Amino acid sequence: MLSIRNLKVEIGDKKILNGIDLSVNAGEIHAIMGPNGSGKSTLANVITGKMEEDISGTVEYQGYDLLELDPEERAREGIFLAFQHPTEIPGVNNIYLIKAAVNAMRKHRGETEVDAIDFLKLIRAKMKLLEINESFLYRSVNDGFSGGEKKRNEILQMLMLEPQLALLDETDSGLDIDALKVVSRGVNSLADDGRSIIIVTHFPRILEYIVPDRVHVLLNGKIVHSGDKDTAHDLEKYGYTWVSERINNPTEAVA
Amino acid sequence: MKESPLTGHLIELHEEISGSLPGAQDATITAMRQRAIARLTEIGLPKITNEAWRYTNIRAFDKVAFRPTTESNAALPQPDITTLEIPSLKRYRIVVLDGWVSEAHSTLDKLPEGLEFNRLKNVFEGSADSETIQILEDRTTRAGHGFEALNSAFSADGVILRLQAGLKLDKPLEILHITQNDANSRLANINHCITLEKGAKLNLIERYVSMGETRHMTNASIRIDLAELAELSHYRIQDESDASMHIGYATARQDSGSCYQIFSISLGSQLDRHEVSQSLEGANAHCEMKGLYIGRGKQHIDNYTTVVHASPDASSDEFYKGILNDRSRAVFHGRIRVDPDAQHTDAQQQNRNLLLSTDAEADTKPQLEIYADDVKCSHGATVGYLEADAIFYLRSRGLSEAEARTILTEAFAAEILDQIELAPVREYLLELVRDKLVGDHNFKEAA
Repeated sequence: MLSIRNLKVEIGDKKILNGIDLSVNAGEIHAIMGPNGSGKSTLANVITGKMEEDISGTVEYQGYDLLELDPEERAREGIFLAFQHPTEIPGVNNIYLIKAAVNAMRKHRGETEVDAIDFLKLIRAKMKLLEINESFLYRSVNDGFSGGEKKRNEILQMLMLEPQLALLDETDSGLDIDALKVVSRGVNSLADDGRSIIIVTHFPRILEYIVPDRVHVLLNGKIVHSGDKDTAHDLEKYGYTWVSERINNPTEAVA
Repeated sequence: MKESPLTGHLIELHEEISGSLPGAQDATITAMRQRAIARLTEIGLPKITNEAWRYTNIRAFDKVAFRPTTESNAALPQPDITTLEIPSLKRYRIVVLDGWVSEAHSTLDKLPEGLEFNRLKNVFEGSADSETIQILEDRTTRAGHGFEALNSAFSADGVILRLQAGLKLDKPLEILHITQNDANSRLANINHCITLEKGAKLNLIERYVSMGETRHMTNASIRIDLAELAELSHYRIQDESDASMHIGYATARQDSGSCYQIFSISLGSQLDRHEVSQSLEGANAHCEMKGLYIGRGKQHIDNYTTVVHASPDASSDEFYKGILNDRSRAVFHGRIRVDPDAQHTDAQQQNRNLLLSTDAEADTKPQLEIYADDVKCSHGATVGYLEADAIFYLRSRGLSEAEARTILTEAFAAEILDQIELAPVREYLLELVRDKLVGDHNFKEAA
């Protein structure tokens, strides 16, 4: 699905990503964890195309050289980012955007525009799953939404667009435990053998609800450790310092 | 000071044709027109040295031999105007062709009882209504600029409407101004007077269109008088030829408890100057002034607005937005004056400009003069480009950059248009604005 080789982002003499290698297979859920400033969001920005310069290395996605594609081409090929800070767009109503996005995908696949009734049925089902009120559809995109509403809206869009590769950039931040459960339920409803999900977070909690196949620890722009889902528990127990010590003393056994 | 070639031409023209204007045999009317042409001779058409016209230069039209047409010429072609209709709008309609009310195209026989209609031409020929003539005379005396004097000097026709007390019109009334396609250099001077007596209510659509891409001039005045508790929603839509010059001025006076709402929509013309001058003379009067202008090519759009709060407890809410592409330029001047007696005034003003091209320009100038101490006044102005974050957000959802720009730009316009309650007018304008924007090169999808 996704194969990242020696990815570096340098702005001026500042190294933000310092040689990332990461492979994500179809059907897998990966978590990328790291403290603030470790380069998590930059990695998401490189994958979605928000960042297009100062990049070296390769990113291959379903046979494409991803870095050569425009952001919209990446989206149409099945990449979706749930933004950490979703943009407010006054004057564009939510249902209009979601429908336009769904149709952009369909057009790309050579399909006709979505039937209005089918679309409403589908979006209502997804909204029910995410415990979202109908009025949500007719409000301007993220305009005046609470933090939690914005995050749910991202997940709603994701469920409607059915991406092949979904990136969740700190979707858990600012959510209370009930909202986290609802959002996780939404994400889990998307997961299947054909799709991949990358969860970017610095709290392990979300990984109790969305169980990852692999957990990568990002520090100073580099993946310093990759492990199974238990890595998240270790991080919760010992903190990020444990990982840095582990790098410094690679032979020392973990307690 | 040496007069401009255009001013000189118009003064000469007046000498040539004033004898054939309606009511020319009436000494009072002729004298009024003579004083107007004398006033034009004195002040000339505005120049950029005039502070109120600092950013708006009419010199590009200096060499155009503008000339009004006669009523019989205007009526001759009997144009098919069905394509100019606002779809699914049920309305009373008065059509003005090249400056002359066309009774053949209007629905005058269907006007309801309590709505008094007259033509300025009939007033001149019957000289029955000295009040109307006095209005033209007064305007000449205090003409802020030469176009007002020009209008009085060539005054020939217009719509005079009076809604009797309590009359609430069941349908909107549209005054549709059409400049015909053979109308190169045509000058239409228009004078409307709309009076709403106590508690009357009207939706008025004042629309200007051209049938061809000709270099004509519209010089249109509308004078509005709202008695106590009267309510007027006024939709002013200017979509004339991109080569034309449009000068318009709306003057409105409001008594207590009246409500005036104007949507000033500027889409066409090479040069468009639109003035709204609002006088809140009764307590608790309310006015809303909403504007939307779209500039393309080398269009120049100048909105010059004045709100005078002369009485207490009145409110005004002014919100103008503009979208400027290519090398177009917009000017917004928003003057608010709060008189010493106008305590508890609530006056808001906002002007927002969206530039779609780095060659486009907007000059915005608020001017607040507040002489009362217990008031709430605020103003704000912005000039900026589309937000990169919003464009990226939409692209990340699979929309092309061009689509993202179109959606965001339409949303910017919709903030004004969505406030229009008359659904057919709102839909018509949304469509029209979309066409203007999509027609632009910036919106075309890259090959």
